[in-house]
Amino acid sequence: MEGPKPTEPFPVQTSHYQRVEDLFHAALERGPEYLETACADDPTLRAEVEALLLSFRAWSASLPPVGTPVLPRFGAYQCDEILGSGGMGTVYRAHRDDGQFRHEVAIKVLRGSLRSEWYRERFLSERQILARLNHPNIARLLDGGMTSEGEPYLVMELIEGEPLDAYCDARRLPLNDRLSLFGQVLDAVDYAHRNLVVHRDLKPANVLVTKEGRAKLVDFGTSKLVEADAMTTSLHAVTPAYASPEQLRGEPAGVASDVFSAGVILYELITGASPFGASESITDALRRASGEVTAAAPATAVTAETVQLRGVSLDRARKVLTGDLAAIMLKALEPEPARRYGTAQALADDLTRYREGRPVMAKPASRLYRAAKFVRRNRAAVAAAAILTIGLAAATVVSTYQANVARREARRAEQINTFLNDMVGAADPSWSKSLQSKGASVTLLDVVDEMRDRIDSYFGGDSEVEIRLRRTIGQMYAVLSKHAEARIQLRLALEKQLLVARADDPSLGTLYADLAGVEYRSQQATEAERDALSAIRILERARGRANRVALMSAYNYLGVSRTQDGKSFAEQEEPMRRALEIGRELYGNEWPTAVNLSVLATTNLKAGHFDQAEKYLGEAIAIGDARPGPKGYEYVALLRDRARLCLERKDLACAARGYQAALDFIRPFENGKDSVFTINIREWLALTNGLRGNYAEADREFQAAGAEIAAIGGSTTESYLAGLNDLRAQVHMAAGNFALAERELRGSLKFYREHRQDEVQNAVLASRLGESLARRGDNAEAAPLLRDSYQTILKAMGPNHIWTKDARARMRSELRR
Amino acid sequence: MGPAPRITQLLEEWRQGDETAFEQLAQAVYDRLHAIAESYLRGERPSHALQATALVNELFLRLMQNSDVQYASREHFYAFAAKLMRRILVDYARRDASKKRGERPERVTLAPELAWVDAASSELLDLDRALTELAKLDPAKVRTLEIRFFLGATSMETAELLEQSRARVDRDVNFALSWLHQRLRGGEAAGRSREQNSADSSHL
Repeated sequence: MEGPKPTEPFPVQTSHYQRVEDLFHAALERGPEYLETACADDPTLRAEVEALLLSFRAWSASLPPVGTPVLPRFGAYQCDEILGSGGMGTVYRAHRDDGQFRHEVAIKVLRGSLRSEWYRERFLSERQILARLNHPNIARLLDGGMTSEGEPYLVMELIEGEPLDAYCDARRLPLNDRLSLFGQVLDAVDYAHRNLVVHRDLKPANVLVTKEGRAKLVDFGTSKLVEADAMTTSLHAVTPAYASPEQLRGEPAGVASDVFSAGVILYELITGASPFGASESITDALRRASGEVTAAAPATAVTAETVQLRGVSLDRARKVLTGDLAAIMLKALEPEPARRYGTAQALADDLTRYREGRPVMAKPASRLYRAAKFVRRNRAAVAAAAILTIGLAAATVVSTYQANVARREARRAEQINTFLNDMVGAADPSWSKSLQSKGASVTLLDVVDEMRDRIDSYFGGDSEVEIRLRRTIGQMYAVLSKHAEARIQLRLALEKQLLVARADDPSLGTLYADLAGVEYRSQQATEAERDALSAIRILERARGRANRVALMSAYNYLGVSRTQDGKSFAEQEEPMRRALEIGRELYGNEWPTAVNLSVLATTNLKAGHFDQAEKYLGEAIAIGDARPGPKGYEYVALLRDRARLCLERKDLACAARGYQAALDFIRPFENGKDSVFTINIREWLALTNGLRGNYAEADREFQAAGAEIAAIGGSTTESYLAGLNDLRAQVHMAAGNFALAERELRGSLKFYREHRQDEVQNAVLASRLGESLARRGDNAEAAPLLRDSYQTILKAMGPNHIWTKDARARMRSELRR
Repeated sequence: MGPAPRITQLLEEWRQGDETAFEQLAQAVYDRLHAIAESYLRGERPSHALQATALVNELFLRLMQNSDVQYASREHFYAFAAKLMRRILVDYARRDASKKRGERPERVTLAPELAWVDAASSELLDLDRALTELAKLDPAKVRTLEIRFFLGATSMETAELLEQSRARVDRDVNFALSWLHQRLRGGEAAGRSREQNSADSSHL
């Protein structure tokens, strides 16, 4: 570029072209009048720029205004705005602009990547379905068509509103208003059912409430006709949090399934929490699919924060939610379809009865029924596939520059889907044959076995897919407590991964962590410890949340395996503390931190470090207290452990208060019939009372507990009864009934020596038996028992542990006699 | 794709004005871009204009995996791909222009902004000539237009590739397209307002 020349008026001579461009932009910004002054003395230049402006208007006339993205057109409709996109596709706000009349609509098109035949059919069936429905609470179908590329689109009534939950919370609607809005939803659902349409994806986001307060049901994209082939197993993209157990299993979803989803919506509208907690993990969804998980008691789900949005006090809300309203919600949420309301109308009627103060039809299911059901349950809990699909689909959302990666992912997702589909017996007849031979008694285990046997022939080529599938199958086996099988699959996945991954690849680390978990649960402490250490070595250097979560688990497994293996307290505690540290980084004061704290508390309690145990328990309980939503058994277990701590410290008043508090808390969860968990707390309370001198009362309570445990039945009954006998013996000893104590202790010890590896706990029992014998004068048998048990406890717990001290005191005082 | 050519180096040589480097580069990716151009001209995606960006992305990623191409040379590669695309489309148009009416594919437009050019006819040859003229005055704008319309990138994508603001890209496109339109269709645009514009505006 030339330097400035002093003789010229401007430093740089601007080219003609550059001047024209500058004037062109200036005229566009300031209007054509600008040229009048700017080109006052150069009409040729002005004409040139004006000609360009004319050209600009000519080519840009048909464009949308500058700055707005180009939105598509569908037939007579021009799209104006994207209202939302997700799931199946995109929804636009559009207007009709063929000069007929101005009329705003919503237009729905399939997402580009979903333009497969399967989704198209689904999309077209939505049109067919909607055409049948004409109800004030359902968004109407106005029109439909095909684009020039042959892609179908739907023209729908435009609903300007907010999702149901957001609408209610933004206006702090009281319970009654929420119930009346929900009533409109049920009206729409029932109308659809009467027209033989099930929605199958009911959730607050699919219910829009207009300014006028009218609820409108939208998105029938996953709905289907009831009379359509009832045998079809559909692995469609439902929303797991609102899906019924049968939907999660991939079974046909009928009217009862919509009733269940409506129940989830109702529960959330009223309590502000999800009936099954916030977890979205595959294992939790699997448990729910198996029908094993029931909704948390509504009274335990409300918090100070949620009741504020509903204009009631916490006490009032808890009171309301222990009565008929709770029973209604829980009936809609029964895991078994036949036990729910038969129709949406029946649910609506019961809600009306509740609001009018009349007796409702819903009755709390008995605990006994649930327990019996739990034992009888033996049906297909198939498709984790739905969940797996959703997980993979979410994983494929990547930026353009990862397009090829995304494509590979999508292909894998598709392969895995095909595999899982076949597994359910849809495509491959040989599959269904082997499963069909088992008839209605097919279990999830059968299906997982079948998957395991088939896996080689499906994914010989792509080891990445095989590794993922084996890992999933391994995790499913772990959920089913088939630890040996779980271990084999995870090992195979690990071996494959070792061939393709670098030695420090985090994927190896997470596999090692999974393995350590399975090995710990199957009491293979040495292996668990080794694999946990491998996981830690790799994952300590890895980034990313999932890797940190796996690292945390690995440290916990290392700690608890060392407990199982009888390692020193320091060796047990150190990894647990590291897990706590990582957990705090990941979760802050969320529930997983409380779980880590409780692991540490138990370890410290057992080692006799009572102050430390108390500190950990206190913090864990504080986290539980601050946590919104249902607290459940895990929280009560913390209260129970704190009471146990008091008992170990021989502070009987504190222990009695603690156990009573745990019982008060757990009672709303039990519908009139205590579970084994609660009975166990009652036993410990009875022990505490017995040690305080209320022998008769304690014995009555022990007898009742024993009878209830026997009535519940199951494989763990004997073990529970052995534990009960141990507690009874302690009360007998306190009461001076050494003959009775001896009998209980002998029975208990016999069982434990056969079934429990924990030598220390058995030695504590033996020491007590020794004391009872000595008190009765049988020193010949008592002396070796007292000495041997003392040595065992001393070796394991050290000289200062409370058990050691107790055993030493017993030995000395009894042998002195 | 054949043995990995020294693509990064070729891109650099081409950027510095070595046209033989362009030919060598073209050999490496011609087939792929050819296929993209063809699917476009068959009218497989008429409403999306030339959304070749995504396909070129994939091509670039593949080159990154199979050759010495580095992410830093992305801008050159896209400029190159856009120019090659322009050439391929011109070749097609030249071939089709000699066909009789009726044998030719339907009218094809590169983008709403270029709806006034039928890209499957001799109109594209005219546009190509006008672009060559404009390149003598303002090569940077032609590069922008090539990426924006021959590669079908959005304003935002173009801005990212060229490391310019989106406003700058839109501004340049507005002027350059008006310049081209004036060159090729000036008569029509002026016709409606000839009375006001007596001056001849053909010599810029």
